[in-house]
Parts: sequence; structure tokens; C-alpha cells
Amino acid sequence: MKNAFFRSLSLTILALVLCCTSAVANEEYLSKYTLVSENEYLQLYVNEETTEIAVLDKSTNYVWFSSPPDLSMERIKRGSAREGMRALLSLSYYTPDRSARTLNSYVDSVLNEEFTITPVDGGIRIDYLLGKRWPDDAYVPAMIRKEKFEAVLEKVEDKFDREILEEDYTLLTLVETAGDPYEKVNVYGIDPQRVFGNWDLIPLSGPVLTRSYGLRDTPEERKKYLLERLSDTIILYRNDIDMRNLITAEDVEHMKNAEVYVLLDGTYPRFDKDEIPRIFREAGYTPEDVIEDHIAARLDPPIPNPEVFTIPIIVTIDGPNLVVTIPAGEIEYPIDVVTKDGEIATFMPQSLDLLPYFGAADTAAEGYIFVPDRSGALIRLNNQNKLTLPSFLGSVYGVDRSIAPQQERIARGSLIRLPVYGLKNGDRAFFSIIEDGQALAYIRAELAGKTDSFNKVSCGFTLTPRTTITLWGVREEGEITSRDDRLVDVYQTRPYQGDITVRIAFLSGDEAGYSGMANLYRSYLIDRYGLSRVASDSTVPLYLELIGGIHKQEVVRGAPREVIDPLTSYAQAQEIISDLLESGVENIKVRYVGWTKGGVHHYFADKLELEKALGTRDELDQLIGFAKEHGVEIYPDIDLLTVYRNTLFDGFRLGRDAARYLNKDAVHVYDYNIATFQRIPEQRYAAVSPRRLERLVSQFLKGFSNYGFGGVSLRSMGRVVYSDFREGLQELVDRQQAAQMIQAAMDSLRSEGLLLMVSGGNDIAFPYAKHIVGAPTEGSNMHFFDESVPFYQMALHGYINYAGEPLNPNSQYRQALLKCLETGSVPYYRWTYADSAAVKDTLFNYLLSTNYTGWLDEAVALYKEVSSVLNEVCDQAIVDHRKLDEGIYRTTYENGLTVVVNYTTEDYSFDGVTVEAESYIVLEKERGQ
Amino acid sequence: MTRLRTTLTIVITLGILANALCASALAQGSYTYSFQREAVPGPEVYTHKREVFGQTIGVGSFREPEDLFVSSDNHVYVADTGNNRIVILDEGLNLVRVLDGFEVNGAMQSFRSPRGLFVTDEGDLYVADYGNARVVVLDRQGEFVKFIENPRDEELIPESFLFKPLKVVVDRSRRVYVIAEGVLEGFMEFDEYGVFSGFIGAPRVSPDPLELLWRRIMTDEQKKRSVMFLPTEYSNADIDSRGFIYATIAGTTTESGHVIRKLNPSGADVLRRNGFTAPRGDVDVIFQEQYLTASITGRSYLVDIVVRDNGIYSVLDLRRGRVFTYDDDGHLLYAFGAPTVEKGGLRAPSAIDTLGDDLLILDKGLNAIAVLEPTQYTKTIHAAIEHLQAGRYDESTEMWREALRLNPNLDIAYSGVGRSLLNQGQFAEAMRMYRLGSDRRGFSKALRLYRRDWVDENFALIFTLAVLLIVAVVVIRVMVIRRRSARPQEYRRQVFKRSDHWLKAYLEDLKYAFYVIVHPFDGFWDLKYEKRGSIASALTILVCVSITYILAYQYTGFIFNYNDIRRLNIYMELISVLLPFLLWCGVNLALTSLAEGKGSFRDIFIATAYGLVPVVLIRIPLVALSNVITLEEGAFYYALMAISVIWSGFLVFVGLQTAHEYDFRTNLFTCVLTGVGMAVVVFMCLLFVNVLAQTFGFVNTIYTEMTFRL
Repeated sequence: MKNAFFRSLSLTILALVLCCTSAVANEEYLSKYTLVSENEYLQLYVNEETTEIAVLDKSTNYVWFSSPPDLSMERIKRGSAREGMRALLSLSYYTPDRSARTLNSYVDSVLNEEFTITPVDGGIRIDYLLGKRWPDDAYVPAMIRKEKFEAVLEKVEDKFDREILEEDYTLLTLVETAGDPYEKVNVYGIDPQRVFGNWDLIPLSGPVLTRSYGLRDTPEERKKYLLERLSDTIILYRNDIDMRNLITAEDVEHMKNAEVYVLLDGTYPRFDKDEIPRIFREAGYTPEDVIEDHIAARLDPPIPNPEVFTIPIIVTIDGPNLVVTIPAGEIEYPIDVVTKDGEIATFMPQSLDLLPYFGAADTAAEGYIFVPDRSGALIRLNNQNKLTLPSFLGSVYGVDRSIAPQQERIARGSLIRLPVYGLKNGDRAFFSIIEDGQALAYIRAELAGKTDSFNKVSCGFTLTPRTTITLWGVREEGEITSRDDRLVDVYQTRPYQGDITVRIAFLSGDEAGYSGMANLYRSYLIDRYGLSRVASDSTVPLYLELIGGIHKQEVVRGAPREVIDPLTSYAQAQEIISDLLESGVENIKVRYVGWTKGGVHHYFADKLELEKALGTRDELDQLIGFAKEHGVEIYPDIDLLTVYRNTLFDGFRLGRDAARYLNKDAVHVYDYNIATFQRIPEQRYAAVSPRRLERLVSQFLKGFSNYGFGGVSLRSMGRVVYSDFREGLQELVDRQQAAQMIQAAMDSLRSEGLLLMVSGGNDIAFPYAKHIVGAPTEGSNMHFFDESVPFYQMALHGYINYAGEPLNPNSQYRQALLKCLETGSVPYYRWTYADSAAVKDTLFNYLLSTNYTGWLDEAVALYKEVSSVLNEVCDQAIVDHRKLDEGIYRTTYENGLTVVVNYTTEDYSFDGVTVEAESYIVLEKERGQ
Repeated sequence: MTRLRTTLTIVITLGILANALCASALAQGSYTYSFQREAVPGPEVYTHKREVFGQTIGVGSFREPEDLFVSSDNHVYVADTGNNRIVILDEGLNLVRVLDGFEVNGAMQSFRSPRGLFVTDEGDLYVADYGNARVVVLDRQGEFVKFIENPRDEELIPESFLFKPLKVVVDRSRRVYVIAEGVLEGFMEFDEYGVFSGFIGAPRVSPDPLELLWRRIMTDEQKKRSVMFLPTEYSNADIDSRGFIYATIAGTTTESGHVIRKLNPSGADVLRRNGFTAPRGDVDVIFQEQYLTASITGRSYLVDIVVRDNGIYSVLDLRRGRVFTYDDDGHLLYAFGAPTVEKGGLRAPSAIDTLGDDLLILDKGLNAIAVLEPTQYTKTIHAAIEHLQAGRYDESTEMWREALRLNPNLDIAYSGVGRSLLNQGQFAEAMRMYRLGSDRRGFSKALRLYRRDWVDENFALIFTLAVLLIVAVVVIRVMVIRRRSARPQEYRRQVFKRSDHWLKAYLEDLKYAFYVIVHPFDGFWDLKYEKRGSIASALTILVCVSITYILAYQYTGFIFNYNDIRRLNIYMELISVLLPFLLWCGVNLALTSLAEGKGSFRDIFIATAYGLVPVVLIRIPLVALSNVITLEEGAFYYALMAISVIWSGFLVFVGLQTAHEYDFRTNLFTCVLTGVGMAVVVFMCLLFVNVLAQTFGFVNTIYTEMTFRL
């Protein structure tokens, strides 16, 4: 009976606890916080002692914290790792000896009380001073006049602290005597007569008096010991004196007829060393006072810590979002300061991690982290299987190719096209969009149990790109100079000067998930860039990539020569298009690659010439006319960022127009050997500096507008963003600027009335692009991820048409079809008129299976099947996507149309409907709701 | 091992940082090796279906599992080495049971680091119980059957031998073959009662002859320092239905590349190696010495092999996390995989086997089994080979055509299509296909048939032409003789008189070369003393020689031409003729002027150049000829080639002897010395170039250092 009662009681308590923690918001933690700003959606709180931030979502009363409020389950029990979790940001930099250091806004600023909070419109601004301004030693006067010392003593409240000071400091004075007080005193290295003359050094109190001398306790021995300690103390605090006989009478002048407390070297216990600075600091004694003391005593004044940074952070609420901004231009860093070693150095802030623990989920949480790797990937919280794997760290738009030449390429690695991330914890989620500075950003995600007990996802920013260069050391006596000597750090000339802004939105209930995040992101894109829906009467297009010419080495009349092999000439392109039209495919968008002189690896695009091997101008005009007549859009492809052939008389000079690595060489893009992973030295192509783009685009347009194309396809502008690390401040293009320059280039192309098709599909292309090919359709295959989601597609469908990689190298018809239906992708084929074998033994042998006759029927069938389903939802967003089971996905469009696809080889039944193996069904029952 | 592991870690870190900048098609998919030993891309061959962790099947994490075996009833056995247990899964990779131990005479015994296992068709499980120094045999129910332990043999096994079994295979007649640690003599063979019966399949060491020569010259000290020719241990094995043992050798000491072997019951290696290179994993490999920044270097490190249907076998490379699949002829069908943290990437694979069509790969880095499903392309290739082996050529060809449609870089598919075209009598088409597939044997076969047909068709024409030619030759010959005999005084005791006109003189000089090559003693004498040759004509001959080589490079028939036309560089070809020639003349002049040679540089130059005429005269027709002869007639081709060289050598020798007025012995002596002298000069030049490069590098370093440090 009793047992049963206890059991029910404990169950009730348990249930209550569970209810409190999950259902009722975690408001109790807010007690230490103050409300600083409020609007109809949110309340912004700050803990004025720790600068931690909290946001209360009014719709759910749930509070989001910048650092975990409940550390009870944290495995790390003490130390700076635990304290550091309370930081809003951390800043990393490198010292001149190339060791990395990180300063954390809590440990290195808040704990030192070096911050100010000021209210701004809609929130607060916190200015941190990172790094202690003064080292601990700077608070300790080695010699201090009696009155001052006693004033300090009075301020010390703790009895034991006062005792420490009294017991450690020795009160000394010099009193003039008649005779020679040092007659029998022999001190090594010093002549007391010379220094002190007839002034007698007398200790009045302190450890010297109480010291035991054992059997040799004579006045001479005591004096000798005192002189030794004093002279050593002077040496310790004087940089210019390194031996006892350099001490002069002036150095002790200040003690004459005065009483001075001296912290004699070696007379006080070691463990007091940490206590003394604390006591002085608590007594309000400042380094400025110490400087005064030391100057009076002719000792070196303490030197302030050179490694000090100031960084502001502005936290505001904007509508339903929390907006965190760092005006990176206002970050102050030590420039040409004197380090401890006496060198002059500049400490560039290298990277900045922002809100590393915002919304971190503890070990009991259920949900997932969403990272935008490729099309999007989910990492289940607290997945113990994944702890042995490296955590996720990915750069937005990929790694900046200009930082250092890449020698080898082994893995595809991560690839981020969208600067967003989120975390779903139970029925709540947050979702972040990096608004400014995204080109410098990287996103990291870590599971609980890896370093601490929290699952977290956050972003960081590379403020100053940096690399290490190996100089090939000269052999010295058969030994190569040590590796460290040969390494030199190189930095971007200045740190990033623009703003860094992260916008955080909050979701709850059904919306708390990647579908909700995608919906949020879509509406954000519409607000910010004014994306507009595709026309409501439009149909699904077919993307058709035609490869024009490729170059190959051939022997012509006994001499080897480069010839252009026409894979699809102008006339043949027309033939392929008309074949497709005849088969009933009407909405065709042609991406014509390699249509200008040089083929796929075309000449620099400032001057456009047609490739003779592909046909005449007439034939091209005919093609264009034919296309116009039948409503086919042609997007001739051009690469404005890569120089495949650098000839003497084009507008490109490697030294002037190429981007530069941090090591000052011109940036090249390489092909890599698929077996050895090494780059192939002969197959390299220069990368145009983003600075050159503006001029190049206008030159290109001059030639291009003659042809009367309605659009243009950009091969690399949607794919890569890279800096130009020239040394001059005017010439330097940092990555964020590069992104803006690429956007400006796309803008000027569009303002010429051209429709744009981009490949790759970085988010910077969204405001300009009409079509995206080569968009990420799958999540990355990293083991770290549990599931891949078509987040990219969900955000764009109905607004920009997109397709992944061409379907034809892989012949999995059903899989391709289902993928198109699941993700709303446009069917995309890469074809040539010539036989597929034409690429054998050329640089282009990676273009597999391109002959169009082998694919025509399949493509038409696939297109018809896809368009029969998707035509209805061309202008509809994907509002929901769900994994029903392994290999079964359900996609719901705005108008209620729902497609369920089954990739598996077995039938799948749910809710009374059956999806056949490798098939799909379209449900329309939810329509109109 | 640790080193390998660090490399792998580096690779993984790099993998994360590395980023696809170009076409992503390159990083994925498969590849094969072309005739030129280049890796050429192919489509994706396997898709990553899923991965099975210990946790997923509910037995707790695997720990460094070393072996995996799929039995004939499709049960999957995993040697979970670190956890001292055997985990048995069913076809769907669900847990059947875990074998922690077994009962022997009423007492429980357990495994200690089981490293290998094998299941017979009857269901008997053989476990290489490494830590307990024994092979454990259990029956289908997991009941103990017997131990194989402590092999003893007075002659073959030393007293101190410690039996450390790594892998085990069992043949139909229950003979057991064990790979044991520290055993270099091959497999340890045990009879069905578990009694040691001898070693089998010792890896034969075949160092290359040049190296043997070097070792003869080396001092003992040097010998010690150089790598020993140690026979290598087998790393793993599989057995096919006919009892052939397929084995892999890990490690790289066998330069000959026979790291995959197929042992017949008597232990002889009968693996067919008819591909472009012997099956050995990667062909294009890099080494640390040249690629300082490379994170993976060295030859493939093969750790497991699986024999599949129709003689196809796949080997697993630990170094680069790859799987190579060969057909029974030794052609590489496809290679794929990379040591990445992505799904389908193999960080530290330890074993491979097949489950139906799927590949199971055990990864001891990830502690999981990866299940890879073949794509349509892979199925097509396998079907093509299956049809071929069954003699269904038409179906096979159809499959090869489909494979080609998907991968135009697949050489073996061209041969496959060529074979059927050959059977259908479309010889010209077949030749084209064989040429695309770099299949010289097939091409030769097609050429022979094509030629036969062509001759048959055009017999009348050929016959007429031949007759006409003979008649014409006879007529001309007769007329010439008649004309000569009409004016005998002009041709007898004719005194040479140089033509006045330069062009005429030049042509006469050239024409005289034809006389020289057949009358060397006479001819060279006149060349020197009658001044019947000139520098201009000698230069002309030289240019002709260069052109001959350039022509031979590109126009030699496909069968005999191993060159990659894309790499032809005319200037290099010219230099490769001119430079040795001038070197020869210069060194010879230097030497003979010491040895009282009478020849001037001009004499040497002219004599040598005229001596090279047969090369031109024979090689050019030979280039034409090589286009119409088959592989079997190659001996003729090579013989003629040799003749041209010998003839020229003889002429040059005689020419120099005449020019210097030497006797045979002195001439031989100076000629040999000239050869040595050339080598010395080349060596000095290389040295000089090296020093120059170093100086340049030094200046460059200083410059870079200054720009970065100041």
C-alpha cells in the first residue's frame, strides 16, 4: 500500500517535472535578466552581469537563450571550457610565432568586467574588450611608499588578505650613519659602499625579520641576505640591469629617509603570487598607481598586455526576428604593438564565432540540426553512432579558392549554397539566415557528447583569410633548416570592414521543422530580393544542354595541331531541337555550351567569335530564328570567371587581370587526376579577378548583343565566389566584395534585357537568375548526416526553375523520374549530336553518354511524365516535405497537390493508399484547404 | 599501420576542407585505365544503399572488425575482432545470432581477436582465432567440431614457430588453407583431419635483372641498406567453385606487380593477365619523393579479394579505399571508391564480399558494413561477360553496346563489340572498334581477315598490277643496259667531276648515297677523297632521318604503334635525332684527334649521315608495311627494323674507319669510347642543368623570402 502510494507520488512528480520542462516555457531562468526591448512578437532580455541574451517568443512564451541556461547535465564541470559556453562570441587570432589563440567574450571580457552595454533602437549594443588590458603582475607594486601601502591595507577588507600583504612585503628604509655600515659585509657582485655609501639599509618589518638564519645568525649575514634580495629585486624589475654591479646609488635614492614597502624577490611564499594581484585589484589599486610607484622607485613600469581587441555586437529585435550585427569595421585590434618579446607585431583578428551556443539542445532533447550542405541535411540530436566522426564544418560557397593553391582533391567535401542553418528541438525550432558577411561565413554543427553535452549549430566568419607558406629552406651544413623557420604566415592586407548580420527566426508547432524553415526562407527571399512567382500559366520546361565544340590534339598533315571537334554544330542543334519539338516537347530551354571560338574551353570572352567548325553566322542566325519561332529559349553559355586560353592579343593579362592567391601568385583552377587525386599541372586555367568583371561584362555585351540571343547562361558565376588578395588596399577584393561584384555583373547582364541561367546556384544569384542548372539535388553523402532533405528546392519552387546535374550519364530512369517529382526539378539532359565516343581520349572524356539519339525517347517519356504531374504546380511553392519511411517521401505543394514517391523495390501502403514499388501517386484530396 | 592511419586522418581532414570546384562528375563515379595508363572516367558503378552498424542490429558497436564472409545460404558472418566474437546476419542483414564462444568438453571457450573466417557449403564455420593461435571449426549449429592448432613438421616448421592464423579458406575436399602471421612460404595447408601437410603457393620472388646486376656491384653495406627481396605474405584469399584460390598480397615489394594470384591445386599461379597491365590495383600511382604534399602515396595496398560469377573478381585497396573489379582475362572493368567520410567512401576497409548482386564492404574505421548496390551500367557489364562465357555472343554484344552507350571510355566494350562484328564479317568496322578499344590482338585478327577479303576481291587488279610492274622493271632494265652498252666509253673508267651548278652538284651528292650504302668501302673513300659528299646533302639525310622518325611515330600501323599521338611533339622528335647525332660527331672528333684520326669534323659528319641512309630507306616502307601486316607477321617487321639498324651501324663504322684511316681494332676502340664519351657528356649536361636549376631555385627562394619576410 505504502509502496503503491510512493510509486504514484513519484510518478506524479515525474510527470509534473516533465510537464514543467517541456510544456511550460523555461521562463524561470529569466530571473537574472532584464527586459531591454519588446515588440508584438518578441521580448529581448539581457543578463547585465554576464551579457547573455534571451529572447521570449510571445506566441509560445518560450525563451531562447544565447547560452544554455541549465548546465546541470554538462559533463565539463569547471574551467574556462564551461565558462566559455556563456559567451556571445569568440575571436581567434594568431601570434607572430604562429600559435593560434582564441578570446572568448565571457572568459576574456565579462570576467574581467571589460564590457559596456548601451541601449540602441530595438535592442542593445555590447562593446567587449577582449583580453586583459593589464596582466596580473601589473597590479603588484614591487616597491611602494609606506603611506600608500597603508592606504591600500585599509581598503582590504578580508583579514587574511591583509595578513598576506603584511607578511609578504618588507618595510625598508635607508638611514644615514656615521661610519661604514657595510664594513664586514661581502655581497657577491656588488660593492655596498659604492651604492649605499654611509646609508644603512634597515628592515623595519616583514619576512626578512622573521626569517631564521640558524647558526649563522649574525648582523652581517642578515645584512648580506637583505642586500642580495634587494639587488635581485631591482634586477628583476629593470630591463637594463642584468647584473648586480650595475646598480647605482641613484637606484636606491628614493629610500633615503623614507620608508618603502618592498616585495623582495624570494622572501614570500610562491602560492601568494596569484593572491597578491587579486588583493591589490580588489582594493582598487590600479596599474596606473603601480606605474607611479615604479617610476618613483626607478623600476620599469608594468607594460599593458598588447593582445587586446575591442569588438562591438548589436543585438536587436526586428519584427519576429532576432538580429545580431557585428560592425566588423569597428573591431579594433593591436596594430604595430610591442610584444612581450620586444618585437613589433600586428595581431589581425582571424576569425569570429558568433553565438556558438544559441539554442543549444541538451542531451535529453529530440529533434535535429539542419545544415544547408548541398540541398540540405539533417543531423539527429544526440546520435551516439556519429560521435567518432568529425563534426560538420562547411564554408558558405565552398572554400575560397584564392586562399592557397589546392594540391590535391580527394573528397567532394561539403558544399554550401545557402547561408542558413537551424535547429529543431522538440516542437520548437530556430532558423538563422546569414544576411551580411555570408561569403566569409562557415557553419559548424556538433553533437552532444563530442566536446560538451550540447547539440549546437552556429556560424563563424573569416575576418582575415590567412595561409601559411613554406619557403624552401637553404641547406645548412647538410641539414635543412628546421621546418618552423621556413613557414611564414600571410594574411589578407586588412580585415573585413563590412557588417556581419545574422537574422534568427523562431518556429513552433507544426512549422518547427525543415519545411517550416524553408517556408520562412522563401518569404525572406521574396521580401529581401523581391523574387516573383513564375507565370501561373507556365509549364515545366525541359533543360537541354548541347555541347558545341571541344578541342583535341590531332595530327594534321604530319604535324600535331589542336583542332575543334564539332560535337553539335549550329545546324545540328537545330535538328535536335526540331526532333524534340516533333516528339511533343514544347517548352525547351537550351543551354548551348562551347558555341564560340575554342569550343567548351573558349577564348577570353571580351571578344566573341564564332567557331568555324560549328558553322557559319548564317546557320547560327537560322538556329536563333528557328528557336524564336517555336518558342524555344536559347541560353548560350559563357564562362566569365575562368580563362581557358590565355592568348597574347586578348584583353586578359595574367599579371593584371587574374586574381591572386595570398602567396601573390595568380589564381588557377586545376583539373585533378581521378586516380592519384593530384592536380594536373598542364590542365590549369586562370581565374579572373572579380575586379575585372565589370569591364569584362561590358566588353562581352558589346559583342554578344549582335547575335540577338534572349538570354545567357553563366558557367561559373553562380558556382564560385573567390577573393583577389592583392596587396594594395585599393586593389584587394575580399570575398564579400567579390560576391557583390558578381551580383553587380549579373545585374548589368540582366539590365540589358537578358534572361539568366546560372549553374551551381549560390544564393547570390537568386535575385537575377531565371533558371538554375546543376543545383544541389541531394544532400551530401557524409556519414555525419542522417538524412538529406530538398530544402534548396523547397525554398525556390514556384519562383525559380531549377535542375540538378544532367540525367543522362546515369540510366536510372525510374530513380530520375521520382527525384524530379519529389523535388519539383526540371528534367535536364546534356546532349551532343556526335557519337559519344568523340570525347574518348580528350580532356572532355568526363562527358559520358551524350549522344542524343540514345536518349531522345527516354527523355521525351520522362519529360511527359514529369510535366503531367508538375505542370499544375509550376507556380506553387512546396510547403511541406516529409519522409514517410525509408525511401518514401511526400511532397505537398501550396495548392494542396501532394506527390508521394517510393524509391524502394517494395510496395508501400499508408492511410489506405498504396504506392507501388519505384513509383509514385498524386493525391489531390487536400486541395483547396 | 599507425602511419597509414595518420595518413588517413589527414586525408579525412583534407576531405572535409577540400571542395569541389569543377565538374562534380570527376570526383564521383568510376574509372578504368586506358592503354596509356591514364585513369579515364566512367559512370557511377555502385550506389550506397545503406550502412549497418553494430547498434542498428542491436549487438552494440563493432570494434575493428577484420573479416566478413557470405555463406552459400546468404548468411553474413562478421569477425568482430575487437569484441572477440562472430556476428551472424541473415540476408536482410538482420541479426541471426552472436557467437561469443563454444563448448569444448563441457567447458566454455571463447575467441580472442578472431581475424578471419570461412563458411563451407555445408555450413561449417572456420575461424582464424588469431589470439588463441588456432583455427576453430564449428558446425552449422555453432557446436564445436575441432581445432586446428600447433602445426608441426620437422622439416618445414622450426620448433619455435608460433601459429598465428590471419585468414582461412577451405576447399571442397575440406582441405584447409591458412594464411598465418610471419609465414612467408605461402599458405599453410592442412588436410581434412587438421594435420599440417605442407606449404602451397609461395610467392615467387622475381626481382628484375637490372636490379640483380646492381646488387652484384653493390657493397655489403649498400646491400643492407637497400630493400630486401623478401617474399611477401598473402593478405587475404578467396576460393572459387572449382577450387582455385585467389589471393592478394599486401605491400609493395613485388615490383613485378603480381600482387593478385590465382593458385591451382598444385600452387602454381595461373591468373590471366591479358589487360593493358597486370591486375594490381592502381596503375597510375605517385610516390612521396615526387609529391611532397600528397597525402596518399604508394601502390595499392590490397587487403581482400572476392571471386564473383563468371571469373570476375574484385579486390579491395586499403590505401585509397577502392575496389577494383577485373574479368577473368585480367581486364579492369571498373575501379571506384575514395577514402572519404562520405557514404560510399571507404576509410579503412578490411573485407569485401558479395551478397547477391550487392557488395558488402566491412569498414573497420567506421565499424560498419556498407551495402553497395550495382547500377544498371554495372549490371550491363556483368551481363555482357556472362553472355560471353556462355557463348551467347549476340546478347553479349548487345550488352557491350549498351555499356558503350553509357561509357564511351570503356575500352573492353569496344573489343567486345569488335568481336561480334568480326563474327558477322564486318571486318573494317571491327577494326575500327578494336582500334578504339586499343585491342591489338583483336585488331590483328580483323586485319588479317579484312586483308584476305580485300585480296580476294581485288585479285585481278593486283595480279595485273604485279605483272605490269615486273614487265616494266624488266623493260627499263633492258633499256638501261642497252643504252650503256651503246656508249661504253662514257661509263668505263669514268673520272668523277663535280658538277658546276650547285643544285646539280647537291643532287649528285645525294644520289651518291645510294652507291655508298651498297659499296661502303669504295663509297666512303670517295666521299672523303673525291669530295663526293657535302654538308648540305648530309644535313638533308639527317632531316630525312628525323622525318622518318616523326612519320613512324604517327603512321606506323596500329598494331605496332604504342605511341600516344596526342603527345607527339615535332621539335622534341627533331632534337632527339639531331642531338645524339651531333654529340656522336663531336665526341668522336675529340677522341680521334687524340688517336691520330685523319678525319675532320666534316668527314665524320658526312660519313655518319651517309651511314644512316638505310634507316630512312627501310623504315619508310616499313611504316607503310606495318599498316597491312598482322601481329603474327610482326617478326618480319621487327627483323627488318633490326636490319636497318645493323646495316646503318656497320656503315657508320666503316665510314669512320675510312675517314680516320684506322685499322679495324683502333676504330672499334674509338667507337666504343665515343659511346662512353657521349654518356659522360650527357651526364655532365644533366649535372649542369641540375646545378642551374638549383641556383635558380635558390635565387627564387631568396626573392620569395624577401617579399614575405620584409
